[in-house]
Amino acid sequence: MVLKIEGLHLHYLTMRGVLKAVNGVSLEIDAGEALGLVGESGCGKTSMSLGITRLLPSNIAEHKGSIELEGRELMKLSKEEFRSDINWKKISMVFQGAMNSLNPVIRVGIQVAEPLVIHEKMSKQEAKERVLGIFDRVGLPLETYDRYAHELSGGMKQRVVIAMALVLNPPLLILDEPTSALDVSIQAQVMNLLKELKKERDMTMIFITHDIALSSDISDKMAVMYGGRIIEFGTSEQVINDPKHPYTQKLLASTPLLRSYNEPEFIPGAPPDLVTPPTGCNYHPRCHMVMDVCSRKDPPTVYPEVGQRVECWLYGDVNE
Amino acid sequence: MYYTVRQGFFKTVPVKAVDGISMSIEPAETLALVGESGCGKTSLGRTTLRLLEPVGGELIFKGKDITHDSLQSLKWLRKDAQIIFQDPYSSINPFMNIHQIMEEPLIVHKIEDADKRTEMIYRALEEVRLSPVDEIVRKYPHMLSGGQRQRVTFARALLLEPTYIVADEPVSMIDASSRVELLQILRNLQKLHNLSILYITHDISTAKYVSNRLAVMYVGKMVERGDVLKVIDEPLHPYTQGLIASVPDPDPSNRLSYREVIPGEPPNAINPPAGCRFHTRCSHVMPICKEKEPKLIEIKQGQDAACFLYHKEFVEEEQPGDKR
Repeated sequence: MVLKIEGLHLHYLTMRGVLKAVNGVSLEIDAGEALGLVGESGCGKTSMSLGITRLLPSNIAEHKGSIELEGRELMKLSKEEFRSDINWKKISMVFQGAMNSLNPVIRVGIQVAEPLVIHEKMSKQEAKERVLGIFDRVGLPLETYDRYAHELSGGMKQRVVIAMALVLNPPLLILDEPTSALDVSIQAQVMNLLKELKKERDMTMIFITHDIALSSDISDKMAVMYGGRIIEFGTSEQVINDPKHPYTQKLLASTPLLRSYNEPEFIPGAPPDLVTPPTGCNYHPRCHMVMDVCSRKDPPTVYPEVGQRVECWLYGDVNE
Repeated sequence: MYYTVRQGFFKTVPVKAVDGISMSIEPAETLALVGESGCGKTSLGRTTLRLLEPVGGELIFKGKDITHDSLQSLKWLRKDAQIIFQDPYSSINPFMNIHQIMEEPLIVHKIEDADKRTEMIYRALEEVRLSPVDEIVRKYPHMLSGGQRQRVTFARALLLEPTYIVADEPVSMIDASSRVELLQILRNLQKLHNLSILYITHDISTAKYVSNRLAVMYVGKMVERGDVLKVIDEPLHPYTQGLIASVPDPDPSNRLSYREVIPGEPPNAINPPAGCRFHTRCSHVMPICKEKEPKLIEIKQGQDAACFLYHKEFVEEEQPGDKR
């Protein structure tokens, strides 16, 4: 097992009160697996990635839980230790819109080489050679090394950012909407690249997106997030072919299909206010299968099948 | 025939954004314009509203030639033809409340009676299912979600009872699960008001849901066009085929194989390839594709494509300008 998260909480302090963005999340990922974290905006999926990589803003009310990476408890590390031992070396992140990750006034090749020079104490020449190797692998022409970010297309910038994430060979890669800013044909190219890299390097990935169809293009397991919690978890086959939670069912039903005919349904209402969430189950105000108990008590965690987990009263014992 | 566009290059620096497009939109029809960034779809959409002036060709709206009319003389057009933008965060004024935002176009177009204006505003907001209306009108944009803001822009576009609306990527910045509701509203509004809609998008799956016909653009040219279900089920042009292959449906087996991709990157519109603009990325490229540009002609009933793969059966001479 590469990553084991237990009871992760990330709460922000806002003017209106404490916002529970990540409210008790647990998950496990094995080596070489891709976990798709799926949910609407505001469900806490980006906060999850920030909570793991400690890229936190200053208004944090609570950040607790256990994050074990290759057996090492990350939450016990100091900020300095995290920065020197974990960032880029053990966990790398690829964000949406590479513009946020690339320095506009430094040539991109040098930016990708930087972690090699700093963390692995390579000479500039050695580092450059390694970077050129990775550029070639991700499908970038070698002269990209000397370019500035603004000279590159969206697809090329995203490949540079992927190269940067891979340069120290980290066991875990977190990607947050890595293809949302790209044209669909370039998105398909980047997804193929990620599939190849995953296979070649036995990479473990967390792939965050609001698009469940895109998630199915790479994820072995899926975790559906809602209101700061994972409300359904299982293999991609389980989550897509046999979704248990009403929200997951609606999420799938709202996707317009290209290859067959469906009348997509929408989910009425809006995601919950995480400062004053609903009583009981967060989803109950929008749930098409809501029962009386759902508004009164938090739903239990149930395991309907091996490896499948859902938080819903439909599968629990209402007398608990 | 309701609305015809024939255009040559646009702009003096020849960025061939829209390069010889002929098309028309019928009454009460939704035509989807699909393509990736840089294909010219937004430019084409704006030109149909005369927000941009064509450099060549004709623009005919409800029988009137508006190609080169002065913007002053086109005030009437602004009532009859509207636009919905992509970004719900920048297309409505953050310093005005919803009532004021909706009222502005009515005041500009001289609806003098304040009560009448309020009545029109309330009706429009109800039609886009923003309720309770009297609470909504007092809110400021930052108090609404992206989806709600976008509904305000739909409602605002309808106020002056237009015949034609350009919807430029109206749901691209909205969460996937909220898109369907907005598109359903758009579809219902179209039926209710008999609107003609030009639906511009890079997302071909939403195009399938809202439109009757689909036109695919590539670097300033229209490469395929036809009934939406036919084009998606049996795409003729290799680019259309590649576009469709690039888009996943939710399917756990997707991860087990590589997706068929269109290699390379879209060329620059300033210096597009000679001959067929897609030839540099096309897996079916033939020698003629590098030299001559294929014309957009009818290949099957209700489906046109611009591709030499289908030209062996057709005589290669000037077809009268295809007016569909």
